[in-house]
Amino acid sequence: MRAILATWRRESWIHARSYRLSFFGAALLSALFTLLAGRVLYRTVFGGQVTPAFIEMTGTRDYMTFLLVGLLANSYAFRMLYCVRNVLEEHEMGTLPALRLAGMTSARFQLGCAGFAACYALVELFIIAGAALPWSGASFGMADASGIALAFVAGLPGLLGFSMLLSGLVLVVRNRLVVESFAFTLMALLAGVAFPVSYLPVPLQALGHALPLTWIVGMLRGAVLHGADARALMPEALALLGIGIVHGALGIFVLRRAVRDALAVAA
Amino acid sequence: MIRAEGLCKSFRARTGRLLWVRHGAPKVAVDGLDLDVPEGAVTGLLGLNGAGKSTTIKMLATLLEPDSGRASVDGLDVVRDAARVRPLVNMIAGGERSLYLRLTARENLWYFGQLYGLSGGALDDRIDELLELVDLRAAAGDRVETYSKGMRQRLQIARGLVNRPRYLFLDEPTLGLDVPVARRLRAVTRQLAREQGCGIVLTSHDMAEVEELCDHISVIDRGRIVREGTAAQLKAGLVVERLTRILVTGNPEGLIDALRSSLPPGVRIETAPDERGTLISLAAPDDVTGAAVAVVAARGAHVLRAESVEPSLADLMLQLGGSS
Repeated sequence: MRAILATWRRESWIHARSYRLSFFGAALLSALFTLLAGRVLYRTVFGGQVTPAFIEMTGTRDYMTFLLVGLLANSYAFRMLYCVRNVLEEHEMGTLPALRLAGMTSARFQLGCAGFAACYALVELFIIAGAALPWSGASFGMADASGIALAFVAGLPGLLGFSMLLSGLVLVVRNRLVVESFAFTLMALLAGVAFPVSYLPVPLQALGHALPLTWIVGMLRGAVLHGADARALMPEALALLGIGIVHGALGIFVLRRAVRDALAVAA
Repeated sequence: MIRAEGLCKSFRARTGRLLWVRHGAPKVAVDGLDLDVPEGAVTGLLGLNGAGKSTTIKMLATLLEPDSGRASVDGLDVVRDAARVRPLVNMIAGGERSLYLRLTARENLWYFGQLYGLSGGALDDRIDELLELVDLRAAAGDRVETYSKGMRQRLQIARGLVNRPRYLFLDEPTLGLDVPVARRLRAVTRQLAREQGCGIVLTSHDMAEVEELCDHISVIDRGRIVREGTAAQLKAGLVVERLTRILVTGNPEGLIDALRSSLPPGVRIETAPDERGTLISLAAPDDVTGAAVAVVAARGAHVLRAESVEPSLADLMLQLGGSS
């Protein structure tokens, strides 16, 4: 536990010095611009209307709330997965052997990094939601707080497991940009951030359901658009936990091999 | 005691990534290596680049698993008991890596101290002690990215000592450092071994450093120990020509011929003008300094300086380079 908390604190120091406002501002503006683009399209191209098929698939005609919830979930996942680059950075900085000698395991390291990312994400989401709600046309009037809380809490193990898998892949290919841009973009597409996943071909829908973000989006939309409470969302939460366990186990396997190979490289 | 018996490690060159990985033929890095590292002494590991020094160190430090053979630290197997071995060892590599540049020196040491299970006042005291040892107390609150190369290297030393290791692996620790900083690090190394009983394994390309610090030296070539002993023993075993240099005034006529006729056959004699006279160099299988000075004196030349150049560990490295 000490190693996890120390890594959390180390991450907070590094973020406070390295990224501070520019990093945070980029995420905020990215979410708000996407929302703005969605609103413009929705108003001008679609005349503020959604199709009956959309209503049938989602159970709502409130596209702007649908979109804002998708973007909030996506920002949460993005921030939680941002730490997939950390192991590669440790390798490039030459700190990986020192960490290994100090008894740091891949799981503890990832937990420390993801723990800080979760706190960071929480603050970020409040600010994005606060900045978006007054003008976007979205409304959280029907939202159930327990359902929203469960979506974020259940998202933690799901995204942690996925982050371990991506961390391993980043270290294997030694290129974070390729994995990040490919995985993050594909994830946003398959998870139905801006449209219902039912619009996708069935094989892609199945692939999307292997991603934690798809379940987080679904749970959040259930809580915000339909007022689903924590009890109603429990099956999805358990599915998310299961996905996290599978991804985490696979991630530990890949990460261990990748770290072993990375340590051998300089020998 | 660290003991390695028959350690072997090979690597396969890899090209490509993920599904497109291709493995080349295995390349032997360490080949049946035996090594003992006692506590309270500095053991040198000498060898040319690619001889297997770093691979050996990494295996002993639990960072790499050997393909075969066995290594133990105080009786604990480096593979089976790796988690129990790690608190007993640490490693410091040359260069400026293994630090978080955006953290201060104190924060770096705090982080690694936490990972080793230290906390509270004990950790604060340890950090102060280490900062004092490496003379970084005044800059402890500055970010490492603002440090000079020497300061970073000193901080690396402090990081490597944070867990009070019983065995320390120093891989080119003074690489690229200024003379005063390197001298201070050598003093710290000596102090760790002599006063704190730390067993140290040192690799370095600075032969003077190796000679100064190491109580025992193992020479590694193509992954095997090819020679062992103290620096004096290794030099005594060298089959190299002994060099004598004599500086005489002027350019005495007939002196070279007299040397050729008086000294044993096989002595190579060369002369070179010097601003104070003539420098005569004599290379022979044995030391001919005494005989040569006597010949020069008998010819009435004035000897300004005479020296017999001892074989050095650098000659040993040159021999290894010549045989590979």
